[in-house]
Amino acid sequence: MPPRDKTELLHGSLDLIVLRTLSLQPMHGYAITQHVARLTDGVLSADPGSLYPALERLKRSGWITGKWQQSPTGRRARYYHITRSGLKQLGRETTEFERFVDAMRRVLRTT
Amino acid sequence: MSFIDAMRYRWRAAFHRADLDREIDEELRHYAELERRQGVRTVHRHAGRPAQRPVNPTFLREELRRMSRLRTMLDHAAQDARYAVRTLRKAPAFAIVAVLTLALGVGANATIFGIVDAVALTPLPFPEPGQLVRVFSTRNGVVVGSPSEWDVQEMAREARSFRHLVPYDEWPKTVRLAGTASLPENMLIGLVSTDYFTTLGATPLIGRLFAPEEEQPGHNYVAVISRDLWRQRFGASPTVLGATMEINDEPYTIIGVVPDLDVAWLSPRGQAARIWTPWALPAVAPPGAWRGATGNDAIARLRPGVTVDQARAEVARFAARLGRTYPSDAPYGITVTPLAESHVGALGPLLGVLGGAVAMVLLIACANLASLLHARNAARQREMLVRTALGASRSRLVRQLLVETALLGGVGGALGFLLAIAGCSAVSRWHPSKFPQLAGLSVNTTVLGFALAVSLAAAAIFGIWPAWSTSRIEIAERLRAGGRTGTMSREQRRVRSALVVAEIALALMLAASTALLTQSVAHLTHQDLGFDADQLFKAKLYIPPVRYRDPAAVARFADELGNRLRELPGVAAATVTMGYPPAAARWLQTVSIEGQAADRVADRPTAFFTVADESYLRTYGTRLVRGRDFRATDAAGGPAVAIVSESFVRRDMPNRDPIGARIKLSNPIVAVDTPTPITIVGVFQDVRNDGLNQPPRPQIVGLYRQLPEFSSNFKILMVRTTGAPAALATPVQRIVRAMDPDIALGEVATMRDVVAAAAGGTAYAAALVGAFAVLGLVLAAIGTYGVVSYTVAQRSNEIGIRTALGAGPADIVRMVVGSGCALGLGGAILGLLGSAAAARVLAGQVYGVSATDPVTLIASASGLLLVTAIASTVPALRALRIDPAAALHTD
Repeated sequence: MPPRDKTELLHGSLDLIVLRTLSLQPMHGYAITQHVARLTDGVLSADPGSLYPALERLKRSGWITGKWQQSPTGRRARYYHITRSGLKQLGRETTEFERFVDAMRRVLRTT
Repeated sequence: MSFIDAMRYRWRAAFHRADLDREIDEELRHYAELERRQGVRTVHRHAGRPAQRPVNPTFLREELRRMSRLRTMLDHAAQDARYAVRTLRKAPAFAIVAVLTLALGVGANATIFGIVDAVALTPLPFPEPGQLVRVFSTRNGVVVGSPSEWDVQEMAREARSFRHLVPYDEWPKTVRLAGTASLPENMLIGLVSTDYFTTLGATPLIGRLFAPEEEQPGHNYVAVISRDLWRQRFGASPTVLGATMEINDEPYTIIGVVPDLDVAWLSPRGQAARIWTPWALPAVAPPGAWRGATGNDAIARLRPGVTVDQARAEVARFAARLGRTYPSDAPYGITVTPLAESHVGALGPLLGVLGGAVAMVLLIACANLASLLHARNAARQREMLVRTALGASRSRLVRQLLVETALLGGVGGALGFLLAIAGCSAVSRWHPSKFPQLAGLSVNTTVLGFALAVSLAAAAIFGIWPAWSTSRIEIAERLRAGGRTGTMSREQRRVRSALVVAEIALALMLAASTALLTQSVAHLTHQDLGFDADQLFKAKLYIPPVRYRDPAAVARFADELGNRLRELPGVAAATVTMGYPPAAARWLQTVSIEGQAADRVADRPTAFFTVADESYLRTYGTRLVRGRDFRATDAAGGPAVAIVSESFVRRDMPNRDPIGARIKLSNPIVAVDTPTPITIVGVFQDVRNDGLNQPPRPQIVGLYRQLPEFSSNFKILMVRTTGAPAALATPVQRIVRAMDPDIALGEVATMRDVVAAAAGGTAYAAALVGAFAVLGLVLAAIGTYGVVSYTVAQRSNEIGIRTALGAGPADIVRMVVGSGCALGLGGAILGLLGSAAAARVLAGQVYGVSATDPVTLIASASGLLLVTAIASTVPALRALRIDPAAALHTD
């Protein structure tokens, strides 16, 4: 059996990760990648190929907004901010995810 | 707000694509740059693996662009629309029937709405039209003409409610437009003052209006003409100013051209004056003048801020004051009504009936549409199942169906609007002469908006519902049911049947209304009118006072004319009179009966009155019931005689022998009785003299040669012929010309035409409701056909089995037609109930037949059952062709 790609995220969890990350502070796309990689010690990786489509989706749902701002390097960059309904969504998804993890754990333990 | 953010984002996605694309590029470039500069190493060290999965930047950019574009609402809509067009093109029969159904329903409604809009909703084409009112006289609360010119003048001076208040009148006169050399024509002349135009806000296009001194008697030989006449007859040349025209053989100078006022609807004649001359009135009424109600008219503009109610209260007080001052005013009140009410006029109740009829047509169309969509959606269940299985969300499917119906609605509405254009132009061309406000009817953007709104609303309501019931279908349940194409649940079949039953019921109501209205027209025109309307020729002429200075001269001319007419070959009888039932007999005359003295004018009876020559009854074919007819010996200067109608005797002299009784008439000019007593010599049968649908009113006929003060220069010719009355026009004209080449015949018609015109409103309603009924029947037949065909398709299995088991063609036909007739029967019962409920609306329009006439209703219901039976015969015949073996093998 070939080893599974570890960067493959559980379906839907990337949205949760991005929302959680942005709930700390507004960031641009690259900073989000960095933050995720640093926090998970590289186990999870939000590569641009899936990050940017996820950002589009979240924007369309109204959970985040993108604003062009000056980055510390002096370049113009799009910073993503979480909205109030984004925060609510984060709460919902967190609960949902915890229930999922909890369930998984129980399943794995009893087998 | 996140919702607003989301909308803003979608908005930008839809309309600012270039910006978005640029931003995507910039963002990705930024990412790549940061990655190149510092990121790669860090991430890789953290990740603890050699390389991150490579990302193709072009691919990512394209994907982001695609996401930002395609997934917007508008894109969905466009996609849905394209898909809808494709699917509709794949089902052309459905699309065509659905669109036509909707277009017919919407077209009928938009046409009637166009009429309502033109006569009631669009403000009158005068400045500040809300300030314009008409002034009427009332007697016992009923409008009887307008206040006399003297009362109006006094009120104009003293009443505070009006900025302008003007009396006016109009008369058909003999006109020679290009002076003495041109041919005489009978034209309507408005007698007005400059204030008439000021009130209506009309200013001269060229020239001027009347100067104050030109409104004085003897100085009034000036005329203003309409733009229409100016263009048609004077080539719109400015040299028209100063030109002379002859009106009743007197020269008038044209001093101005005014815009067309188009107020034919204000005139009882149904035509608008195109020439106006000053109504030269003395500032003060001559002593003893008659001041009560007259046949003139009065129009006024309220002061800004004054309401109609305030003005009404003031004129009522004013009328009471006038009544205390002048005896002839005592019986009369005065009231004002908005000018706009006259514009709707007698059309109002008719529009109610027509509006109801088109609403029914629309309901039928909608029911048909809903039924069609229902059937179609059921037939598309497999497609829907497949799309659901492929991941289309339910909202997406519903939206898809909605877009399809919106497309149908849009196209149907546009087509309906085209039909309304045709409908309105047809109404503009063909309408009864009593509704001149329908002339020039055309559609406008309001009508377009109405057509589209109705169409889209209908499509939305009747599209959402089937869509909803389709989307309710649970996939699993459907799959269990086999997922066959075109299966309908029992409930869906019930819904379609109910729709068809409703259609049939509505169509029956329309058919029954048509039958009732058609019968009413027949009753109106062929009832016992009290005279024989066939083979009777009618014309009007004006004997100019310039050459016929006194009533005796007029009488001599009229008598001679009568004699010559009677000598024409084929003429059975002829009379010269001043009034003719049923149309223009409304000269209301106050009478005092000897021995029944009533001192106050208010206490005296009134009756329709006319003066004629001795051949009046004979020519009309009206029966004498008591006493004698006029005789040649009832000579001018001899004892005056009169004949009265039965209802006069019944109402005013119930307990005495009318023959030999003497009456006196109030002078029409001065408010005193004429000194000559008039002896009643005969009683004639009642005549329809107040329109065709009103009971006959009391009537008195005198001889103009004996009552010169009641004889005017207008005369009506009535000629009874043994041949076609219309053929008399030329010989009668020739006789009049031979006697006086300057007299023109006007208002030439056959009495049948006059009677038909009097019934014109009802006939029009019958024709239009009839057209709508045909529409409704066709649609209901289509609906029945659809449902029965569908039943046949559904039961082809069963029919196959029955055939295989030995059922004959008759059994199959009976079964199928029976199912159609069951719908028809349900619809008929419902329709009869509906007709009974709607009778109140129709009651005002039907005549001589009850609005719930059982024979008519049952006959209409039977007719409708026949239609449903025929509509189900076609599918029944198709059922006969079902091959049992094939039918059993399909499932």
